[in-house]
Amino acid sequence: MSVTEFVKNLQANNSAFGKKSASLLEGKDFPTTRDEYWKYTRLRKLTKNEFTQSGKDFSSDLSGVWKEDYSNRLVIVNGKIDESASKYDLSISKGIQSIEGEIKENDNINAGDDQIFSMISKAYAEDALVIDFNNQKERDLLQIVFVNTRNSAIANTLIKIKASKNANARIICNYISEGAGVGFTNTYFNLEADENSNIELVNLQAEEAGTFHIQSVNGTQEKDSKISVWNFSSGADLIRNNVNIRQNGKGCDTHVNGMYYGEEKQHIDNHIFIDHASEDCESNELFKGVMNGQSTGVFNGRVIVRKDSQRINAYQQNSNILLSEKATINSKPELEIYADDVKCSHGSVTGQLDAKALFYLKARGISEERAKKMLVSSFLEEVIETLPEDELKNYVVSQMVSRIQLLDHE
Amino acid sequence: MLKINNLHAQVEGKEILKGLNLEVKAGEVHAIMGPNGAGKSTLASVLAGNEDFEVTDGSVDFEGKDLLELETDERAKEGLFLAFQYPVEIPGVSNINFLKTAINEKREYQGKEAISAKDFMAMVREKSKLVELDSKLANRSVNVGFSGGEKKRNEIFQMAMLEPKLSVLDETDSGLDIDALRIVAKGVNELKKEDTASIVITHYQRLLDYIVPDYVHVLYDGKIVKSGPKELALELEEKGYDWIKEEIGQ
Repeated sequence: MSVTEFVKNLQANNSAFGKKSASLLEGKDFPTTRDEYWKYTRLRKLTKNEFTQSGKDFSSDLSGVWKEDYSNRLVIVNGKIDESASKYDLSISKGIQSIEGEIKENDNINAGDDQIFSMISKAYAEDALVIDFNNQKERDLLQIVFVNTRNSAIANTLIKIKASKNANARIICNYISEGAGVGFTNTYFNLEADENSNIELVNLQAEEAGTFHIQSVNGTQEKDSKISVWNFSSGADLIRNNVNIRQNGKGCDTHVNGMYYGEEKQHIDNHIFIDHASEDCESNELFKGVMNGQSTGVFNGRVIVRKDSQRINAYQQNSNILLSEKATINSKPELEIYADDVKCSHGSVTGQLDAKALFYLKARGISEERAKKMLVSSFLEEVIETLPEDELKNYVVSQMVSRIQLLDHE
Repeated sequence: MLKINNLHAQVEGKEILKGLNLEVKAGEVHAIMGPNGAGKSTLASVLAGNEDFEVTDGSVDFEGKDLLELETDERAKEGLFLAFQYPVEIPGVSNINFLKTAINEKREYQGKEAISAKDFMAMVREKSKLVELDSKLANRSVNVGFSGGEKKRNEIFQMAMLEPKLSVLDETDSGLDIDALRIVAKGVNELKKEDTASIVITHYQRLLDYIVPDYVHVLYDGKIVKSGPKELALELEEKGYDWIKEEIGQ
């Protein structure tokens, strides 16, 4: 399937990187399962649709979405910023031109055809944000709500997040959908963590069936910085998350964690790539999935420890529960180590719900449905626990419970 | 309270229970003894509704209801309790949350309101004292990191919390030292009421020194082949099971 066909109704933006990206896309085909990083993810159900750039009218009531203590709020509808629904006192530049020079036409550090969707986003994005976190004293809190109104809407958004030296940023991104028909959200994030800064990005992907979501998070870290990314994913027909982080300086710490729940024919794919390009750094990945119905989960965790990157600790764990005989998990850890003084581990476990535990709970008078919920919730709890602060943990569960009905929330 | 009639059950195609009959009335304690492989634990599993066991014939009436028609959780809600021979560890599910859910599901089934947090905690304190279970264990994950004795005491603690009509204790004495045995037995005895009953399944007589049964039954090759007063247990302890085999002509 050619990309040209897919983008035929779309208007490229007039930035230099946009034009370059559009020209790079010409004649390209979408990756297929013959491509290494798309081996388990068929794009046909996404690419067969015709999408159009749509307006920014929406009707969803966001009152249940906002987290009260986050005073900086942005609403992005079908890829365009809704000023009237946004309020903030952070240093934010908006519009395609604002990001010119902040991103390159081809800066995806993960090899392979992952770039296609980043390039589509860059070429056809209608809006962009450059957010400067430069508060040296306290943590800045920002919440961004992305609304996709479906009806064939494509939402391409480019977001650059810069944390200056010693800055501390926590960003919650809520992805929701409304209306009927298909909708495609294709988000591109570029994170830049300067010396001793800390960026936390919490993605709550809770769109409805009929939507597609591809997200690329590309980050670079300087000395003693920390980047944490969480992907909570459920609801859309197809979700693909690419998280690519490169540690450029000593003493960096990277955490990428996620939870996913699939039912019916949903497909959820997390491709994580951590590039240990400097010494004395650490990375941690924890992904847990529960697959029901005929859903498919994919986890690919790639870690590279480069030749001179000594004293690296890199840990990776992916655990899955299959609730149905027709559900599938493809889990693939990849460790490439070129340095000799490193501690790396990876683990991958896929199993079913513990039948003995289920019987034990039922034998105490707990219904099967409730017992399953207790077991699934306790399994997923470990990922929730990686979030900072109890209040945030509760909030995340409250937002995901509509999509992950097996999650316990009181 | 419980009437088992001609019960046949199999596991993986192998018949284990071969026409078992047993009647238990309110206020009674029945001990079921027998050699390994006789079907003691199968009986406990079938009563609780373990789907690994298939009932091929017979009936079980529990308080006027067809027990075999009920789901496992419904049996518990109707007042059946199984103390497991091997209590299951459930990481991530706290004992407290687990018990509160179980109690409230039962109360909902009975058309009662959910228990208040205050009443629940008072009950936890009272009942954990009964089996000398450290109340700190109540906050831990179900059975995770519990010693063998603590697991068994936790079973009796759960029994005390759920206040069943009929308790089935499946080899609750196995793996217990004498102190733990005494504590478990004390718990069971204190919970005994006129309108409740117990079936104590055991391989050895020693538990019956502490929990005195009204009747002792010998389960052999899937059937109850002999029943008698509590003295029968002593006779079994002394002579083993071979004389029973001779008596029934095998």
